[in-house]
Amino acid sequence: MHVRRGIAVCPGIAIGPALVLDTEGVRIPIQTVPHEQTPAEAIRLLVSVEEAKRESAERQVELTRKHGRVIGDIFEAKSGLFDDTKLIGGIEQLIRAKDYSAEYAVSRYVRDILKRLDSAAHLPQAARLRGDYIDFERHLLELLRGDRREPLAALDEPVIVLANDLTPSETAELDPKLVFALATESGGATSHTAILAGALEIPAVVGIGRFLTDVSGGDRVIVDGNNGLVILDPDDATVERYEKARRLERSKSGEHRVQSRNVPGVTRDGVRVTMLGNIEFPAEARPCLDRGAEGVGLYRTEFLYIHKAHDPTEEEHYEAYKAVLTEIGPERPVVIRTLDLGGDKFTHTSGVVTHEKNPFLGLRSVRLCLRNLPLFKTQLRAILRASVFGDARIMFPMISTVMELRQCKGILREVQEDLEEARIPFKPDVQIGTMIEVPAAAMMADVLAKQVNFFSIGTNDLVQYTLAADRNNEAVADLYSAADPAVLRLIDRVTKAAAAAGVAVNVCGEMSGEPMFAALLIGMGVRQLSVTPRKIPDIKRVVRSVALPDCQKVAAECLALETANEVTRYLRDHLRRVLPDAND
Amino acid sequence: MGATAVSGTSVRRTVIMGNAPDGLHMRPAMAFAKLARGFRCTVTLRHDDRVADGRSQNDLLMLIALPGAELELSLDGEDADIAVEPLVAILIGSDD
Repeated sequence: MHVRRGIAVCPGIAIGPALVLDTEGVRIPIQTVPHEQTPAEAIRLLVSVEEAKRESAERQVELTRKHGRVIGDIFEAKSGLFDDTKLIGGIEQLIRAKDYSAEYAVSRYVRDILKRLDSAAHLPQAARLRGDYIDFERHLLELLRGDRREPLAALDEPVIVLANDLTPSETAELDPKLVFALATESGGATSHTAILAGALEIPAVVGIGRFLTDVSGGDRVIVDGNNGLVILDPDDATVERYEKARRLERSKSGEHRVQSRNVPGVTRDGVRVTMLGNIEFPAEARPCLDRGAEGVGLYRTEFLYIHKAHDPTEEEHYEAYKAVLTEIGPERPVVIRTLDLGGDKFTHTSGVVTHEKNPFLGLRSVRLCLRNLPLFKTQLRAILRASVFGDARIMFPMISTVMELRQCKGILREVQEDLEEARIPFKPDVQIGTMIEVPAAAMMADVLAKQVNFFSIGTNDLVQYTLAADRNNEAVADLYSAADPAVLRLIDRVTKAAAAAGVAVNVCGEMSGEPMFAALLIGMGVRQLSVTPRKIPDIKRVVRSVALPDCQKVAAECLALETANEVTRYLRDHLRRVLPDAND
Repeated sequence: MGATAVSGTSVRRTVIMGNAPDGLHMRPAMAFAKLARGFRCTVTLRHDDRVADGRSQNDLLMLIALPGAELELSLDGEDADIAVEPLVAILIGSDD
């Protein structure tokens, strides 16, 4: 049994077989085969080894021709492992003695070798050998798998997904019903893995550091998202303890939800704070209401684009928006954010520049839309058409200048005129808003306010751009903090500008889902919080426990502090005072 | 280069690993195992408390023998006395 610690990003407990993803794809979780099948498995192994030898020999000739003898020889030395009958015999023995599948036996044997190398990790030689053995394993696994490369989408039994990190396109493929939990080696509290886990409400731990070499696909694993632990190969007593905790947790969260649904978001002294949900998929609309949301404050639309062979059609957009608006109902807002793709979000969409040196400062989001008008207009047209089903609102992401906002509005107007001409019904008074997530937009909030009905502060990007710290890079993770006074001053500036112009302000980043920030945001004038649905009950509880004068005092005092640590300490103390049993 | 003990068809030799920058890495390990497989005698290499079958490249790599490491080579079998010099040559790195 190994216990590894990481950053807890989504609470809950999961127990199940591991599915290990590496950059090459998937290691299949089939662990054992029926005993009578082991001779056949052994033959599969030996056939693959012969094939690997043949391929290696071909590759060596090719490399020697292209790059000369030295490179060719190095490659030959690596492929010498396939000639090592003792090594291959050891793997075969695992199949025959333990009924392992050929894949699992290879993976298991190489894990043991890597473990030995890791114990000598201080030696430079060990680090280089490591890569060679991983190549050895990968080569055999590829041959064993043949053409049946199992994509994530083809899962047929529930698993716990373990990976170095998940790319957004991989996460888009995951079927939440078949994934019990996520655990990754890298990533921070606001990485895509964390956001996805939040959306799917599955336990997740990130930033664990290197641990994939200690686990093979199919091994039993526990993910403890409450304490940020991953337990590999747990003993029976540990499994039993966690089973019990899991059952208890399920019954408790059910009660919590019902309570939240039946009470409004209002402070002790009667100030209304509207609780909204952030969603990504139409299927999340219902759970969002179940947890007490009074609408959708952020409907991300990227799922329509990610992992598609073609751009989404107007009908695909329309059907998705119609489904959400119908579910949420005519009286509640649904803020639809236009395409926010780019950066790290992989896509097949036409006209998208994928190779940028610095994608987060590149052609992404609304910048991309303004360069690709057919793509942009298709989405706007679908939103307008769907607007007849409820209170759809349009929000433009990553606006940096007032010019961009004016352009967006101009294009929206063109689309409205086209619809009028074609006599297609839409709501003429759809509310329009802009995200405030670029520091430039925060500085110009008073000017932007004249153009829109509402602001939504996207704290994840605002923090990243203000502090110039990549939220996925552990090396600078300590800089990335929503509690940084620079971020608070920008938010304060935005709320003041909004109040002066009579424009509503919503906060929709991870910050609004952290209980300790609720009082501060209310004190700064925010009256709408949009959070991951599962966090609504917790945040609503905080809202109902505070009073406005106290929140204003919190805001004034925090704005006078000098460091993120001071702010964090202050807010934690404050939360403990108003809600002694809250988890922050 | 160390002392050699010959008794019948057994040879023991203490060898100091040569100056190849990575010690007993992929290339010398492969060359050594390949050569060892060509002889009839058993080939055993020890480093600290680790023991490798000289015919197994993987075993040799797991010795993690860096330049300057002290290795003990044992050969048992009829051609042990013929095998010893070429095997030692690989370890001291005259071909690398």
